Amino acid sequence: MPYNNNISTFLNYISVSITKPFFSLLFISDNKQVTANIHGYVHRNDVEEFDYDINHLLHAASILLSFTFVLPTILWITTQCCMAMNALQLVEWICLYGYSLVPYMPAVVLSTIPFSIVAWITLGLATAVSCLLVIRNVSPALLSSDTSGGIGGQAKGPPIILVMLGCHIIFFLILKFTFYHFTPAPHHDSPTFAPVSSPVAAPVTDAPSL
Amino acid sequence: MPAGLMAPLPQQQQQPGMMAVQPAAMEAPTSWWGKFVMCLTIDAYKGYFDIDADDIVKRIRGVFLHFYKPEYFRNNVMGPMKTNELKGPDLYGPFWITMSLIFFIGVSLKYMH
Repeated sequence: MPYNNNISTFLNYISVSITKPFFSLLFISDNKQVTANIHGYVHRNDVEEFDYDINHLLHAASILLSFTFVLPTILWITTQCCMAMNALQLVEWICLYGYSLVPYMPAVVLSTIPFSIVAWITLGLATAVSCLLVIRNVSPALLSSDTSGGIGGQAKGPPIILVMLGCHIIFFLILKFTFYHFTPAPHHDSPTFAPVSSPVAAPVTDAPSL
Repeated sequence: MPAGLMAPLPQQQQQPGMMAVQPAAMEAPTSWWGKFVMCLTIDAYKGYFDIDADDIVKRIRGVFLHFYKPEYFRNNVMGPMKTNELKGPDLYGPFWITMSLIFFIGVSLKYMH
């Protein structure tokens, strides 16, 4: 038994001593590839494009996270503290606003079609669905908990619903004009036409005849 | 007769579920400071992330199918509070839907420009 044990430990030692350098080398070579890729990505020349992408992502993140978490919190504080309406919990507000972003996913994918009218229609439809979902689910609870609309008091539910509608329209316009504003079409045309129409390019027009 | 025997079972199963919800409501602090401290703990948010992929799919489908019905999504798809049938409002879905949409916008802008 001790002999067997010794053999097994010896074999184990051999296998480890053989495989360890092998895997170490593999890991190092892999690691070298990965770091080389990262190095190439970080030290590339088009830093402006990288900054542009990151800026777009950060912009989108700030807009969407504030729409999902900050706006419902403000609305909840307004209804709960300022208007004394115990209609919905904060989690329900956030959940409804979070799920109301679902229609924007297909809309965003379809908005990559480079026609302005497609972006208008898809984002508009998504906004309509999202707005209907939130308002249809929130307004009955808001209106039923609004007890001030009777004698003398001004109704507090309808203004909140109008504010929600306005926030959705503003969100739609921000999405449309920040991310899916299709001015590149004239921009793409202008550099090709610019040298022809510019006075500097005038002598070059003779070049094709040569 | 077997049907008669099976009938009380769902009621018996519902009772523990309702009892499980009750103590959480009873343990909630009533003072302003207690509520503030509870907001800072992770345990306060655990219940809102206790949700399956099937529920998420059901809710996403509910957004498209029942968005125009008054209070249908809130009462029949999401549920106003956690019961045996409905999981109640969650934070897992809103967080990952927002993150996915940020990713979608980033990818689509990369394709466009």
